[in-house]
Amino acid sequence: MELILLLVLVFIYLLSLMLGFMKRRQVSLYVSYAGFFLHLAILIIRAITAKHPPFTNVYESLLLLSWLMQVKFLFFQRATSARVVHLQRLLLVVFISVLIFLPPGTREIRPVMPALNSVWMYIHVPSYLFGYVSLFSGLILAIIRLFSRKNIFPYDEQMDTDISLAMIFMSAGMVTGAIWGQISWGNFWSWDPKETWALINIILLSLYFHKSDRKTQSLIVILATLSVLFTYFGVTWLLSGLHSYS
Amino acid sequence: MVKILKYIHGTLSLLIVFMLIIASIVSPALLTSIGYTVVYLLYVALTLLSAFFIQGIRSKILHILLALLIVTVILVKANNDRYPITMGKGGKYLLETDTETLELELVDFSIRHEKGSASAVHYESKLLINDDKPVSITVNHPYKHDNIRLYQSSYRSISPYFFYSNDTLRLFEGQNDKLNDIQFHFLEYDPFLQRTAIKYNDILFYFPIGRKVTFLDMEIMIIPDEPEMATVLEYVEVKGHIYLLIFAILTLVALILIRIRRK
Repeated sequence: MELILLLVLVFIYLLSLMLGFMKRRQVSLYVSYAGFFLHLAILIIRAITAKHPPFTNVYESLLLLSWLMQVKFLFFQRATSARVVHLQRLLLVVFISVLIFLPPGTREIRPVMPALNSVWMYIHVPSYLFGYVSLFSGLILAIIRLFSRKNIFPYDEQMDTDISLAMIFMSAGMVTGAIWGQISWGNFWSWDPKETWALINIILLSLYFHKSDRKTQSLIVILATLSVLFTYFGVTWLLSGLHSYS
Repeated sequence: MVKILKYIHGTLSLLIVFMLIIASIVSPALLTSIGYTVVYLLYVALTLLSAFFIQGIRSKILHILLALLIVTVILVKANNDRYPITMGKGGKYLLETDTETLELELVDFSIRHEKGSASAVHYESKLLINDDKPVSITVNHPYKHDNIRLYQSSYRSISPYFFYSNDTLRLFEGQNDKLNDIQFHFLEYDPFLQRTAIKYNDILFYFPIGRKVTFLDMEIMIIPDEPEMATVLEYVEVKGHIYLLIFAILTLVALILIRIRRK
């Protein structure tokens, strides 16, 4: 059932991408809105059937992350440039496709582990999700910036804001994570692979604010995104540790 | 000068990233090694140095706070004792800290499993501490007493051992208790050499299994019992965590303030 809904969703996002390419702006925007509501419905169904908020494992958090991106793209950062819009929609198609191709076991509903059963989960995890949303929307601008030949770029300020928000939310996620760790393990920092990689992400992102050259900054954003993706998937499945459930 | 500092910052950051990647793949033990700590301290020195050269009071404050935060992390991590305590039902453990002695007794340990699976949804230890009211320890809800914290860490199947002498004692690995009024610490059973390691007055003794041995004018025989589910608690003495929390939150606030101004 969930898989069928996801297939419909990816079809809708693909349709809005196609319509965008065909310069049918208004129609593609409506289709995008339809995708947004279906996406929200999938999230609500998931939360009701699982009886917990939809961010306790990789599948659920990706579903929520992509929906939050759609919220940002549709309501907070309506881009005027066609290239940006195309890339935003492409990113959503990629995310939903990844969700479809994840091993079926990851979609299973399982009760929340004892370690996650804390109020801090509602602060720590969303902080990172907001950070990742900002980073991905910055990534789109960084990719375009890297390949643009012009010296003046209309989205430079937007990229600064996005990456600043990413830095703030990811730092907040790290601090709240440390507080949670202190409460539940007695250890604010355990050098667990996920924590190590979160630190790598922060160090890479901090480089952005120390460089003034836009091309270098764009490269740093791309590098940081790759490292975030590794933190998301690589660490979860390759390096086991305290965070192996997320 | 700022240009040089920025150049060093870039190089040092990439070096640290590279070191962290290596450590996350090879061994986390590297992360707390001396070599790594030296590099972190270099980063701290650079951060402090740049605080003097960069423009803007908020940037200065952020850099100083960041340096303080890293130093606190290193100090606190080096000064916090922690070790696991494994106890089966009815097991006792004498916890000696610098300031006081706590007598722990596990009254009950319960695990609730997910239907049709081996993974636990909830587990809970009920402890008597100094024969006071029973306290319950679960994941995310530790026992707190001054600087002492007892965390529910995990659980595992272990074998208890009977110690027969004038008294009879049932002990798990890692536990300590009194036998004929003599306090000793049962460290572990070595299945390869089939002997138990016992610490008495900070001296290590090895006793064989299933044979009578004479020790301090008393005869002891050690026999293993059926394995059972035991709770694994983690003992932590918390020192300086409050400073860490303060610096972390202040750094975060400084970071947010800087971003707001730039906007």
